[in-house]
This record gives sequence, structure tokens and C-alpha cells, in this order.
Amino acid sequence: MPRWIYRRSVPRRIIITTAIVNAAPVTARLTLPDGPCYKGHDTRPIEKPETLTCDEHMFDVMFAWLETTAFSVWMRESPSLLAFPGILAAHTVGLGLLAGLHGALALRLLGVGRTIAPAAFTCFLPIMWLGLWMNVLSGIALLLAYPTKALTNPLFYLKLALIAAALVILRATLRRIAADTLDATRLLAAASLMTWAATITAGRLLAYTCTRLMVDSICS
Amino acid sequence: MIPFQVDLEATLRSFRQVAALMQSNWVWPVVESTHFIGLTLLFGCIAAWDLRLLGMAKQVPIAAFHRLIPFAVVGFAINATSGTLFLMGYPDQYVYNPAFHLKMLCVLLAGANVVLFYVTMFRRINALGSGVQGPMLARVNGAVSLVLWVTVIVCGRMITFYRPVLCRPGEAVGLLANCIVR
Repeated sequence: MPRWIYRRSVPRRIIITTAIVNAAPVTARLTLPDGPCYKGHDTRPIEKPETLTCDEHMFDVMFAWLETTAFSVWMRESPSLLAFPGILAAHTVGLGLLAGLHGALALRLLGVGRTIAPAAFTCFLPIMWLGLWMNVLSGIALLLAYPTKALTNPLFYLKLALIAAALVILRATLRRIAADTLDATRLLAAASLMTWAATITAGRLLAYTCTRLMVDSICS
Repeated sequence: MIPFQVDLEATLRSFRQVAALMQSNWVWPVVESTHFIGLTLLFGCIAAWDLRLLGMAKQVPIAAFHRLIPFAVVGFAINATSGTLFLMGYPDQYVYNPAFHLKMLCVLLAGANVVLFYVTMFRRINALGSGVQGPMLARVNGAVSLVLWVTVIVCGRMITFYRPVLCRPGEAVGLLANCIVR
């Protein structure tokens, strides 16, 4: 796990939370010892040099705490279909609504169905925002179920960056439609299709590229 | 165990080269990603069409949105192909899986819904101009299509959670499927 990914992508707020968690007694399923930290792709303890801080150790404390929260345990262990399976399914339906309708808009801008005014697609915006919010919420839920799995995988940060890029492209496209100019919208449309395809691929590959499943277990 | 299921599994299992390819490194995840991209193309184009039938974006004639349908068909073709590859990769995981059965049932119903549309109202709807809401039957058709495709996505996601397990003869698991008897 390259350290810069932690440093750049984890907001300061979480680091402070970690510090608080560190100070408070942690009722983690895996109580991490003070001395050794957990480094790299396996969870064998290694000796922590006294003079150095250990990022991995600090984040492992946060992961261990997140994994013991009631919500995280419910997501992983509840037999209810509305827990992990339902939320995963909702994540895919949200993908279909947001990326799918953005894809339809992109096809129009690329020349399919020229008789449709591009502005007509703004009528579908509430549905697209519904898809976005479904996926933000279900995504957070899925992240809380397996925080170590996602946050120790560089591909997860790539996926978030690709989503941000797709949303920036969507906003730029909508601005041009609102201003009734179609400058460079073909380019934006092609970029949006490629960005969503890359997002989907990155998301799907998350299941195959993880190294750590939970704070105390590896992906097999 | 239904004989048809046993025969289907045996038939799918006979494509050994495809199964070997699907089980090799990284082929499965790549085909899976393709399946999800196809899903997005299919669902996006169909959703735009169905939402127009339901009365959204009324300023555009329904006929104009029909141009998106060929791309939905492309999405469906991508997914039928990649889906068949999954089936050949691990036949027993699908043939005896209740979530897969429900998914296929919904795909068939969605297909029947499409046929119903073209047979009963396509000409009439295609002649409608802008600013017109489709007749009630068209709205029902759009709503049914949306619900069915969402169900297809949900059931597709549920396949993982309803993988058949090996069990003793006569011991049924799941809603629609029996377990695999070895």
C-alpha cells in the first residue's frame, strides 16, 4: 500500500477521529497491540521502530473500530436480504439510472436521434440525481461493511476519481445545454462514455484486486 | 431435480474450451465488467424510452426516442453473449440457482412486454406528435418494462447469494431450485 494514497485521500477529519479512537479504549474485535504495527499485505505483526510513527498502525486502529460498529456488523452478518445483498443490488440499480441515462444523453450528443432536443434530457435529471444519491448512500454502506478492503486498495481511489471526473463532465455538458451551445459536447459525450466504462470496470475489479478483506484477514 | 436442468447443465458443460477460458486468470472479471457496461447501455436507453412513455420529456415526440432502441439492443446482445459465457464457465452455479431462474423469467417477461408493445400500439404511438402523453396502455407498458429491468438487475446481483450448495438427494434449497446432488 503506497503511503501517499492514505496521505492524500484520507481527510484530516478522519485522522483526528483516529487519534480520538486511539486515545479512547478501543473495543475492537481485534485489539491491536501498542508496540507492533501491521504493515503491507499480510497481518503479521512487525516490530515498530520506537522513533517512527506508523501510518498503517493508525489506520488499522480506525479500520478495526469501523468494523466493530453496529452498522458494519449488521451489513456483514445480517441474514436479511435488505442488508448486504439488497444494498449491493441498489448500488447497481443506481448505476443503471445515473450512468445509463448519462450514456443515453451522450449518445444523443454524438448524433443518435437528432430530432431529440438535448434539453429534453434535463427532464430525466431528477431520476439521475436519484441514482447518484442511491449510489452515494449504498456506496458508503458498502464501504462501512468492509472498510479495510476498499481503503487499502489503490483501485478504490481510482474509482472515486473516475466518478468525480464523470460528474464534472456531466456538469459541463448540462451547462452547455442550458446555454444552448453545443461546443465540444461531442468530446464531452465521448469522454463521459469512456469514464463511466472505466468506473464500472474499476468497481468490478475491486472484488478481485483487494489484498486485505478485514483488518485481521486477507482476501483469498 | 428436474431432468431439464440436468440436461441443460450437461449441455453447457460440454463447451470445455470456453469453460477453461472463463476459468483462467482475469477473463472472468473482464467479462463481468463487460456485462455491467452492457447493463448500463441497455438499461439507460430503455429507461429513457420508458420514462418518455410515462410522460416525461413530453416536448419531444415519442418516435424521436425510438432511435435509442437499437443501442438498447446492442446492450442486450453484449449481455446475452457475456451471460452465456458465464453459464458455460460454471453451469451448475446458474442452472440450479433460484435468483438466476427469476432473472431469466423477468427477461422473458420484459421481452413479451416489448412484443406486446410492437404488436398492439407501436404504429399509433409513433404517429403521436410532441407535447402528447401516450395512452394509458403505453404508460402501463413503460412502467412494467422499468419494473422488470430493475428486477433483472436485482436478481442478477442476488445470484451470488443463492449459489446452490451440494446436498443430499431430496433435500430442497431455495425457492425455485433444488440443490446439486453428486
